[in-house]
This record gives sequence, C-alpha cells and structure tokens, in this order.
Amino acid sequence: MKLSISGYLRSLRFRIFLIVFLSSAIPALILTKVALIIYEKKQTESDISAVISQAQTLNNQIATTGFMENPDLDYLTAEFTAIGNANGGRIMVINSSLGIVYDTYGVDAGRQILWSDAVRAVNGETVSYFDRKNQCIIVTVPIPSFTRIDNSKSADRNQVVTPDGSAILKSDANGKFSGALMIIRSELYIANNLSFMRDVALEILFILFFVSVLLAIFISDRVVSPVKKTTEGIVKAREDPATESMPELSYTEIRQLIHEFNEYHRKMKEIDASRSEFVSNVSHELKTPLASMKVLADSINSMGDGAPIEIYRDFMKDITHEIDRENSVINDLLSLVRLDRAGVSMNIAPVIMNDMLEHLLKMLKPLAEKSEVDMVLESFRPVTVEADETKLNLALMNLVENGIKYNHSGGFVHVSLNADHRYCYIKVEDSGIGIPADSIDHIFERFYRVDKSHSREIGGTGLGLAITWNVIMLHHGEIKVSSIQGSGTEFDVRLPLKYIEEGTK
Amino acid sequence: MKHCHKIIALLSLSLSLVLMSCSGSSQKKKTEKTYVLYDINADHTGLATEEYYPKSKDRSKMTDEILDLLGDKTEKSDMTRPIPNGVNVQDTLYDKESGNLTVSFTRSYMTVTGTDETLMRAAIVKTLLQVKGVKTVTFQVDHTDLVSASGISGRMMDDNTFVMSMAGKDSPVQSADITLYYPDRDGTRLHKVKKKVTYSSNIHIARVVIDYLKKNPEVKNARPALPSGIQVSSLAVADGVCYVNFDSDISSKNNDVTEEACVYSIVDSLTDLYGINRVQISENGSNLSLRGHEGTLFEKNDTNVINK
Repeated sequence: MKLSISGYLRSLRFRIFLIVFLSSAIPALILTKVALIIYEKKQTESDISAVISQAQTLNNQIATTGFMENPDLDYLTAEFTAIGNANGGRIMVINSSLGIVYDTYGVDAGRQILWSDAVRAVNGETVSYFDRKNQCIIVTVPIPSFTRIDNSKSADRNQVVTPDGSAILKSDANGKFSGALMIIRSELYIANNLSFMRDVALEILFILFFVSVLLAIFISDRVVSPVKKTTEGIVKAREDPATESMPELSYTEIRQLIHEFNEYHRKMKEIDASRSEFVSNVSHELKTPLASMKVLADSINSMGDGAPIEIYRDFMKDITHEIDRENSVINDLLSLVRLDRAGVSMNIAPVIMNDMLEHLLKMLKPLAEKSEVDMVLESFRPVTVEADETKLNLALMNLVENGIKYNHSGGFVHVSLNADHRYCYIKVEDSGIGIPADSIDHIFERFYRVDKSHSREIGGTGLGLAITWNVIMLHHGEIKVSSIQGSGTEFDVRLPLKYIEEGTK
Repeated sequence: MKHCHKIIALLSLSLSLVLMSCSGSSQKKKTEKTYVLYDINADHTGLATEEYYPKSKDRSKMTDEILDLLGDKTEKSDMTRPIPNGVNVQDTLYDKESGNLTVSFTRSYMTVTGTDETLMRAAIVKTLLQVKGVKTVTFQVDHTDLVSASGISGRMMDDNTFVMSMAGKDSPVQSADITLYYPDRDGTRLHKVKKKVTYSSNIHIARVVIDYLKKNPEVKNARPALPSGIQVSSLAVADGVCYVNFDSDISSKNNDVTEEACVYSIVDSLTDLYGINRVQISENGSNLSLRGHEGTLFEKNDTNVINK
C-alpha cells in the first residue's frame, strides 16, 4: 500500500530517525548552552578577581599620596590612564561623600554619584556588577583611609611606607574609608568568544544532523526490512495458498511473528484440505447408494421380460434400502450443516435427563433385542439440565446406537447418569469391538470410519459422532472417549447444569 | 468583488483605529505630568521614588509643600523621607532671572555627614527641580554657601550634578557631536559626515566612532569604511595616540575601496576627537603600513575629502 504523509510520519522508519536525531541533538544543544553559560560566568568572575587586585594596588597609592585632596599627581593619573586602556575601560576615583574626584574619560569629574554600588563601596564593601547590556564589568573597591603618624618603631600589619620613605601611615582605628575606586573593564571579548563558540556549535549541530540522518537510515533499515520482508511473505501466502512456510530468520520478535504466522497458515491449509476432503466425502457418500441403485436397476432392465417376480421383489427391496440410506445421509448432513451454521438457534429449556434417557432406551429396545445386546440405565439421582432437548436427544441416541451396533451378540450397553452442583455426567459404556488406538483421535471427524470395508453391513452414515460432538460443544460440555480394542468402549459426557450464552467453560 | 470590498473596508477601519489611538496617547502625554518625591531607599544606598500629587502648582506653595513632605514620615515601608528630624529649613529665596532657588538650612544640617548627606542633598534637589521655574538649586547653611565634605560646591545644583547609576536602565548616557569620514563610491575620496550620537559613558568615544564607520552612511555615493563583521580586539589612548587593533583585515572585504581610503577614514574620524592626534592601526596584532608613508603612526590627512 502506498504511504500517505501521515502514514509516513507514523512509520517505524521515521520514528527511529527522530529518536536517533533527538537523542544526539538535544544533549548537544543542552551541553552547548550550559558550556556557554559556565564560560561567561567563570570568565567574568576571574576578570572581576583580577580587577579587584588591580584596584587594591592602586588604592594603596591613592591613600598614601593623598590623591583625594590633590587629584593632579601626574604619575598616578598616567597610571590610571594606562590601566584604563589595558582594560579597554574607565577608572573613576570617588571620595567619601560620593564626589567624583577623577575620571579617566574626563567626563564626570566634579559630579556626585548616587549609584548604590558606589555608596556601598564608600562604606567599606567591595562590590562588582556585570553590565550585560554594555558588555562590561564594574568593580568598586573601597579606599582605606590612612592617618599620618610619626616614625613608629612598632611593626604593624596596617603600616605602609610612603613613596619618599618619609612617614608611616596607619589605617584609621575605626576603619572609615576615604572613598572608593571604580574600575570599568570591557568584556566585549567574551561576547565575541561566545558568538564564535556558538558558530562552532552550530556547525557541529549540522554535522550531527547529517550523521544522525545516515545512522537513522542505516538502523531503521536493519529494523524495518525484516518486517517488510515478513509483510511481503504474508502477502504472497495470501495470494497463493500453496506457498511454503517462511523461514524463521532475523531477530527474536520477528522470528516469533513468523512462527505464529506459519502455524496459522498451516491451520488454514488444514482447514482448506479438510473442507476439500469433506466435499469429496459427501459426494462419495451420496453417490454410493445411487451407484448401487443403478446396478440393481440395470440388472432388472437387462433381464428383459423374462425376469422372475421374486427377483423383482428382492431387487426392489434392495433399492428401497439404498434410498433409505441416501435419505439418512442427507438428513444427517442437513443436521450437521444446521449445527455448523454460525448463529444456530438453541431452544433452551429445563430437561429432566432421567426421563429423556429412559425414553431413549425404550426407542432403541427393538434394535437392541435384534442385536441381542443388553441395555441398562442407572440413574443415581434426578438430574435437570438447561438444554436444547431435540439436539441433546439426537446426540445421546447416536452414542447408545453406536454402542449397540459395534457390539457382539450377548454384549451390553450400560448408561449411567449422575450430577454434582455444577455438572451432569453421562456415561455410555459398551462391551463391543472397541476402537483401535490409532483411530481414537479421529472418531469425531465427519465420515470417519474405522473399518471402511464393513460400513455397509453396519449401516449408518459416518456422521453420528460428528453430530454428537457438535451438540455437546454447543452446550459448552465435554466428551471423552476411552477404548480397548476387542474389549469395549466408554464415552463420558459432561454437561453444565446451567446454560451460559457465551461459552466459557 | 464583494470579497475585495470587505478586505478594503476592514483594512481602512483598523488603520483609522490605530491612528486614533496613536494621537490619543500623545495628547494624553501632553496634558498629564506626573510628579515624584525622592526618598532614600531601605539600605541607604541610593534614592527611591514615590508618587506625588501636589496640592498646588504655584511655585512658592509647591516648594513649601515639598520641603514639608520631605521632612515627614512616609507610609512606604521600603524607603524613608530624606530630611531627618533635627534638620530644619530656615527659609527659601527664588531668583526669577536665573531660575535659581536658594534653600538655607539651620546649623543642624551639618550633623548629617558622608554618603547620607550626599543622598539627602540629591533627594531634596531633584524633587525641587520639578517645580515650575526652578532651574538650579543652591544650598546654604545659616545663609552661608555650603561646600560639602566632598569638596563639591552646593551652588547651582541641577540634574547634571548627580550621576544616578553606572548600570542598568539608568546607566549614564553621553551625547556628543562626532565627525565621520566615509569612502566615496570611486574608492579613493572621502565624504565628511557630522553626526550627533548618544552612547554609554562606560564606552570610550573612539569605539563609538569605529562602530559608526561600519554602518551604511546615509549619504549618496558613500560606502561603509569598515566591513560589518570586523571586531575591535583592543583600543587604547595614551599621549595623544590612539592604538586600535582589529581582529581581521580592514579592507579585504571592501572590494571597491582602496586600503588608503580605509585607513584615512579611520584616522581622520578619530583625530577629530579631543585628545587624539595620531592613530596606529594593527590587524590581528601586526601594525599596518601604507606604501609611500613612513612608519606606522598616521596623522589627519584631509586632501582627499570632498566636502571639507
């Protein structure tokens, strides 16, 4: 069948491609994103650290030279400019009242800065800020205030020697700050690096895409082609029922599929074969009496006018017998066909089994007497079953009749009836000729005869047990047979007391 | 045909609706001016604002009202009014000619020091500047001009006196007039273009110039001076020399423009800035030199400029 677009999207092939591609692309994307975020964070953190060190170096110089009061010192301003250039940014010196004392860009000196970072720094906190929009970091470091003290002999951690070696400064005991140094450093290179890395990641993603397409095609081929082959095999088997079963190849699930299909196929072939056999059996059974009749009629015709009346009488008796036989075959066939039809109507009503069996034996008494076979009925208790009386009668009669027919003179047929709270049990036992072991599995098949050569003498159509089996199944019952050749046969029937529409045992 | 008419009707209806709403909103802007009071934020690190509806727009009355309110208690939990208890206003004096408002405080003003004083002063000045007619504010203590501890004069303060923030939405923005030189279509001559630009104070103006040289000039026959993908690796200004390092060739992608024209676009534009006399250009670290020019430092050369 041709695949539509939606059919293709639902296909195994496309799904495998999706799985392979997504399982490589999604981790790649996530990894890239995470890596870029971590890089930016780490890089700005490390830059901030470096700038804080720069600031602390400068701050000592600012404090010791009194730059706050005198922002004209050339060598300091040159140093600020140099460091500002190296950072690709700006340096501002802020005093304790937030006044901007010096600005390397020469723009804001003389103004007052009200930014919270500056306020916090001037009060002693080292603050950093990453301005993502303008791609720069702004680090504001407090400048400690030093008071000049005269030469002191005591060595102290907070002592600093001025550049000319004259005085010693000590930071204020109360830790007040003389201001803050604000260094702005350009982080444009990070943005450039990020965009470069993103480009690389994109290229990798494209490569990944193509590789996963190829991989997906390869994998899906391996997975899908056995399925396709199996499908083709099934189509071939459907079109030509005579094809052989498929070889069980490829991976386990496919093997199981092929195996189950082969079994099903074989069963279909069996059913087909048995149907053909049935048709040929039916034709044969219907033709046989007609052939006999033809022979008899031809004989009479060939005798012409000189045939004695006794011959006529005998031959007419035989012809009548054959017609009866043909009639019963056709009747049995019709019953079987009716039972076989899907939706056969069951006339369910409570049936008193004891009465039915009694009546049944009475009907067969003449036949039993003629065959010199003894019949006994044993009822252990009264049993009532919900059943179709007509069908059940037919089924049970076949069993008892067989027991009489396939028996010796002086033999017996023993029918027993019992029940428990769920089932009714009927046993038909005879002391007859028995059924050979290799035939016992086939006795319920239509037209099956154990010994075809004696079928005419024994009579019957070969359909009796098939009908019985069918009826028992319709009542959701069970029938079992056991036999010893030469000794006798026993049929055990089990019927549920209550009839259930949908048959579950 | 009916379908067409429907579409046209719908379009014109929506267009007129859009136009009406546009004009409506601009009119709204003209009539309503919102006022704020500047307070000090919760952790004393900056200013915060709250809405203010003046009872009177008369200058004298509004000034008095503001000074009163700024000394009151506020209902807001995350800010405090800037004038603390103990600091009192002596009087105010308005000079109509200069637009300067002088506010004189009692001596108790000097009890506030350091960053607190700066924030308080900024809050009072910025709030008062909203009053109609007040162009600058001067602080006095006991009728003597105030010079704050930061050494900054308390005279004629206005919005320019204070830098609000270095980052975020209030990040400082400069505006400046720059001159840009773009190559002509013939590839050798230069067009002179004057431009007014606004840019973040944190960026050196030389970078801004170079950014503009990458763009398409809105002048007939002029080309961009630099390829749009080029990046500045580093830029430094020292002793009047501007050192620019690009990450790739400045003229390779510009097929029509000669290298000389590229170089002088950059040099002339940068040397027009205050503080830059000469320019050194490097491409990926290696200094650029031109045939016929000695050395790697370039000075302004306007011989090829079309409209000097």
